[in-house]
Amino acid sequence: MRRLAVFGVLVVVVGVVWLDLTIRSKFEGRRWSIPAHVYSRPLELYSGLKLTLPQLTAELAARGYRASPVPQIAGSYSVRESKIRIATREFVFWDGKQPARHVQVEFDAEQLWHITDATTGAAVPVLRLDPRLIGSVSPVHHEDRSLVRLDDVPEQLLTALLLIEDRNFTRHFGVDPRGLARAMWINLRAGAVVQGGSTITQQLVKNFYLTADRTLQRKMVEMAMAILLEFHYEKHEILEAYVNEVFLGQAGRRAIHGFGLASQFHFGRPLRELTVPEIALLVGLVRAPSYYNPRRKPDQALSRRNLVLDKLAENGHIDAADLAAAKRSSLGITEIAPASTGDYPAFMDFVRRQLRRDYREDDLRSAGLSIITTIDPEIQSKAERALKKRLAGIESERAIVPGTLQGAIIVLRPDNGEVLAVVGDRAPTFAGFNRVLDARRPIGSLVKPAVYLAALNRADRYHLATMLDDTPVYLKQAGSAAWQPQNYDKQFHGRVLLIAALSHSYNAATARLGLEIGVDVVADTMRVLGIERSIQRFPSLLLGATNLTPVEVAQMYQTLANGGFRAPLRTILSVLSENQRPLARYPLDVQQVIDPEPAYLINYALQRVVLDGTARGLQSRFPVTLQLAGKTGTTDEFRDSWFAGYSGNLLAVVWVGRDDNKSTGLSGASGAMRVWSDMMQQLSLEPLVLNMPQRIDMTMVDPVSGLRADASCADAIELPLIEGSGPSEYADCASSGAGDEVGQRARGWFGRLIDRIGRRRRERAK
Amino acid sequence: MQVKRSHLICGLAAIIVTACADPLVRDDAEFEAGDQAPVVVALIDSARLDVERGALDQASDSLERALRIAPTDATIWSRLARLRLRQEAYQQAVQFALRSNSMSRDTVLRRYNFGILEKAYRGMGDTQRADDARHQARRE
Repeated sequence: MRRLAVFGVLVVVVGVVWLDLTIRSKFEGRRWSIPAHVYSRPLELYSGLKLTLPQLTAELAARGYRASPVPQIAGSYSVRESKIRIATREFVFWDGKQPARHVQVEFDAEQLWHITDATTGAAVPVLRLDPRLIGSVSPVHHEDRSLVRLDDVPEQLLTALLLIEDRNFTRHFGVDPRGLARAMWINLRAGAVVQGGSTITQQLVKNFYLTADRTLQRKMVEMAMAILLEFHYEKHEILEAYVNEVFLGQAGRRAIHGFGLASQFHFGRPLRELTVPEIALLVGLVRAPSYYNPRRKPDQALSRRNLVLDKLAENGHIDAADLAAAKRSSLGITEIAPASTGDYPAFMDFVRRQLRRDYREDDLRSAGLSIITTIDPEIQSKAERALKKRLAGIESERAIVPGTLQGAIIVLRPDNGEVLAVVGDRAPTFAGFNRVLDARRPIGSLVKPAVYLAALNRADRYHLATMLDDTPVYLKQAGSAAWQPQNYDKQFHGRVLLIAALSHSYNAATARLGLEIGVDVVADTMRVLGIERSIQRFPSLLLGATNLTPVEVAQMYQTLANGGFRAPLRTILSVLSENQRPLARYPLDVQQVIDPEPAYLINYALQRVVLDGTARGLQSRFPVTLQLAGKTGTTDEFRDSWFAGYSGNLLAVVWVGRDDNKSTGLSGASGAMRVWSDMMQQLSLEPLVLNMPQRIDMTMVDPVSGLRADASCADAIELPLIEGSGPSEYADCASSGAGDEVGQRARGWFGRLIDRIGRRRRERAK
Repeated sequence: MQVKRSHLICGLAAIIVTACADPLVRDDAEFEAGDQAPVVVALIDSARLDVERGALDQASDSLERALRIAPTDATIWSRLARLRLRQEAYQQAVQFALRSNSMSRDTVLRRYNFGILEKAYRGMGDTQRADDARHQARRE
């Protein structure tokens, strides 16, 4: 008998020890599993910024700022005519904490005019708004956290919580027998389960288990664990853990745990900014998050909230007037898509890949990092909408089965490589195949600038006025059919200016030029422009029979658009630790990889593509003063439609095609370029102003002969040519030096010196 | 007397050599940058304060913010180049100085940038390019 008793005690002791270890490890383990939070690029406000008052209001609303007659607490604003008063939130950027402020922002016509400190009246030259929270990095088990410290939790929330869920929290030892008894009594009288008897501690233990067994055995175990928990930890530690652990809703695959996250999820703003009725709603959710889901069951949510409010009033925590007002107020649930990994999956994918180079997956999932990225949510949503609408429009125009076409867009700043928007799918929230990063497609004519740049790099042999032969090319290839490139319009155009061959995308002329220069040289030029993948060096490369992803194409065009200065594309600006300490900064990085003269010339030529070449369709949609540059790309049998184009401040690459690689019937201009236009027309574009290097002069040329011209030539055009490069002879139509070779040579050295001095004088005078 | 004359000659030679050797890179060179927007001025001032207290990364951050707002302001690129020089990040100093020159016709600024280029190349041990930069500064 005694042995049995001893054995029994041993079992109990072992059981208790095991429970003890389990609950402690769960408690400790849960505390540190916070995924990285990802933010958009900071929005800098300053006098002269092209931003309207409604646009600023929209930015504030997107951050959960609340319109309020007198903006006092951080996260509120009020508008009067052309002025807006804002109580900004504090935010810790890489360079330190930016405190909350009261400011007044005044607008004038289409731009921000003035910012003043509302307290001191001093002018504020620049103000960074807190960035938008756009997601988290792959939360473990699809759980997410927005941790709050107990000090950050509003007083009323704790009051309401304890009142509703665990009146005796501060006094019991983990289990509350009086509370249990009371609950049983109330439930008996009500005839239903109106009140739970579990303490907060017990609920916390329950939350640690993934499965929701409600057996008596489980309940007993939970009780034991609750007691053990109270034994080891202080009340405030338990309460803090609870506040961050409690299950408050399900959004698809995503579980909402903790009041901090629930506040963001339901109201779009931080916990400390909630009003009393909003707090009451969240506390009411604890009992049954699905049943009281404010989005799905607003009526139930409302009555539950009001019940909580009543209880608060009964116990003297709010007065009658406030109670009445609170009960009358609407639920206040935000319509903003709650920040999750679901918002911008293609961009987040890019962020994750770049982070993986420097951080372990574990750290990203659990170390509570803050990551400030380059995304511009406004540009992102405009890009998404443009793709969606235009693809649907094209399908309808051409009687294509809806949903057949797909697309990809990447938008970036050419001056620093910062990626502003990534759209990997026409259904942008679909976190599937990321076409921007992973769809390798032949780039067709998008390769041509590399061919022409390779030529222009040899200023001794090629310039924009070099005459090329757009005549049939026939290249025997060992083991396959001869290569005979055709032009898009199935014609050959004879002798054409180099710049015309690029602007009209003549295949024959390009192929011949590329073969003269050498396929290897062209491939090397592509590498210099930023293509890291190894390129197959066949002649067909010259017409774009090489598969690249849109992001790779974007890198290539970034180097061109930035005057020959390559800036690696990046999505991350900085990373901070869980304690808001700066961990890493990703600095500006540019490298000159093309000489200024060929860089200028190729850009000039790409402007011609838009002016009167294959992209001239843009002229009907954008003012010519923008001087846009770009290149259309169409592949064999219209399988891929590409457009890469840029203004002074933005570069965007668009691809349109079919995932099954069948023909779409779309050229670069009729497909991708239209998407590009739709999107760019909604953005604020700066003109593309090229810096002409000193060694380049505008020179008159006769387009027919490629020789120099002057005013007496009827069709003369002006082309930028490098000094000493370009045609030296004059065309027949020219009056100066016509046929007079001796006179030309005599003029020669000295004449050119005089010219140069005169030119320098004129430049200095500018 | 002879000793004094040779001293004089050495002294003159030293002055001439120094004058020829030192390009015009004054550490505290200020530019007449024309009318810069208040936001840019504020960020540059902030960068200057950061440099004074040795917070060079912070200074970079402020200058980069300024560049996001005014990417075609060649003087900001030049300041960033000078900062990189101070940080002994010579490769970057070169690139930012080149970028500044690619967008400016201002001879004072260009000469200054060639000065930075020269110092950066010397820092990297590339005497050929350093000398080239010095010559180009003279030709401005």
